[in-house]
Amino acid sequence: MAGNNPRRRFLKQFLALSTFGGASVLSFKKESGSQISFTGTSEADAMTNPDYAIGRSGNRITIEYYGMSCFLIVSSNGKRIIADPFLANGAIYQPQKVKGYKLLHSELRKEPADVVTVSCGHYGHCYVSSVGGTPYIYKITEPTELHGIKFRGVASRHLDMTEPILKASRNIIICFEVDGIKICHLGSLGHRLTDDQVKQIGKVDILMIPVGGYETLPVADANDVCTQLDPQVVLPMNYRSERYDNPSWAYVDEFLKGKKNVLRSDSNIGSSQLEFALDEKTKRLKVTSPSPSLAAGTTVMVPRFVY
Amino acid sequence: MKIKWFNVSAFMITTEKGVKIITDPFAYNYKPQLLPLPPNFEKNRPPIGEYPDVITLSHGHFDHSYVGAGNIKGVFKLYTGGAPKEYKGVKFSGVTAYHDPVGHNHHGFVTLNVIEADGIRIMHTGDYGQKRLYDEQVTQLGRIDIMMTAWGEWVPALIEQLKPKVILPMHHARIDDYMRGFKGFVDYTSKSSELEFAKAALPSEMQIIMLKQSMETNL
Repeated sequence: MAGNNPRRRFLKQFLALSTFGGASVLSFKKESGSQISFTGTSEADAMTNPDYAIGRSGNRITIEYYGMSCFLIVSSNGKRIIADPFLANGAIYQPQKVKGYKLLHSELRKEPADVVTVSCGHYGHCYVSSVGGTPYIYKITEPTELHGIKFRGVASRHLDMTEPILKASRNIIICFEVDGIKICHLGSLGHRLTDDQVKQIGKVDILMIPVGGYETLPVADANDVCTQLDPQVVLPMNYRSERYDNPSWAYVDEFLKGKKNVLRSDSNIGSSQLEFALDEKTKRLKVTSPSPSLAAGTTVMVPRFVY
Repeated sequence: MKIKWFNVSAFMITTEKGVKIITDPFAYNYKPQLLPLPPNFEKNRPPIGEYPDVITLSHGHFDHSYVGAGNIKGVFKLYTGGAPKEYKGVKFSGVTAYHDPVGHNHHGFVTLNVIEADGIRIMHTGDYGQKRLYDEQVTQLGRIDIMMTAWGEWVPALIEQLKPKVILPMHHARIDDYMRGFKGFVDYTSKSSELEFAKAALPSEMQIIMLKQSMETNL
């Protein structure tokens, strides 16, 4: 581990001392034996990981989680894809007087995008006016190439239930490939996949899956869908958190129960960005931030919210 | 170019080259939370269901920004204001304004979208509600040929400041004595929901053309 390299540690402490005056040599001696540990991406990564210090290179993509079902995916050439932008505050989507809970996620605040994908017609998934720039909206099943990225949609369904605001029971699973990495966003899928749907989706590297349970996949079905698609990385979404304390949704911990490879980076320390790249030799996905390597099999990563 | 009114604030502009632009699509399947339901409430209203090239949105309210569930079909570009853009030969620009009269801005901002196609400059005011435009806004908007606006106390000031050739009332505009009192009022409600415009054939004196609604709505 490069983080335990004494020369690196010396360099880091020397820099820290020189910034704050550098008068106390004694304190340097005291601290030199202590362990320094960091969570997530931090300055330590910038120093120990040479790629990080140089900047993004090669086929490296960045994924950020805005909460609900919304992800921002940035390709290596800077194309920005936003999946399922949501309405954060509004009387129609958030009837506090009726249900008594609040959505504390921040809005996207006109985050610029090149392509916005929309899975279903709920305002938790299709609030495109919070996105800035002049994006293309992709929400169909016909394969389309936008900004050099091929998008495919797979028709599926919501749970068939009485929905209080807008009746929209169709759901589109969005699949696309960025820098050779196959991403699948399940939107607000509410059922196990059929064999035909699995065939249409094909190989998946990164799977974004709803685990909340209400209007989307219950945890048991979410596990089944993960098994069906067999991705390398699973990013759970649409779960109960302190930002959206909806009692009818499930916490993410229920989905993580019994999972072997879990990488939690949802603490408030470090960057909200996850970086992925494709290993050109083995054609397998590798995580370049926050963790340098992926174990074999499926890894569940819990990203932190952007705001 | 052709301009068709669906209902509320949703128009479709079809240019001579066939580029389709839809402004402010509304939530066709909106069900009010509060009971009793309005008298015209119907559970299954049909959506707009068009395949446009561009959608312009003035602000994020549900009656101005709904693209989901078959309301708008196909793949399309989105313009919500910000820097001016050109797409398929049509120029888009947006000027920020207040939703409510200044001092009561609890609804925030709207974008006054200006669409320039076939030499005609069209402004869509969304839910604009200022008493008067600021001088800066008038400068940024520039020449306006066709103005789509909700009907209210801000209309005389808009006419005086922007001097449009054609006004298309929208968003629950109803023909009443106040509207009839304006010079150049034309009633098209029994004739057509679609009109054709050309730059050379724009009227020299201002006309207020009340179109026929081509869709029913719960809003």
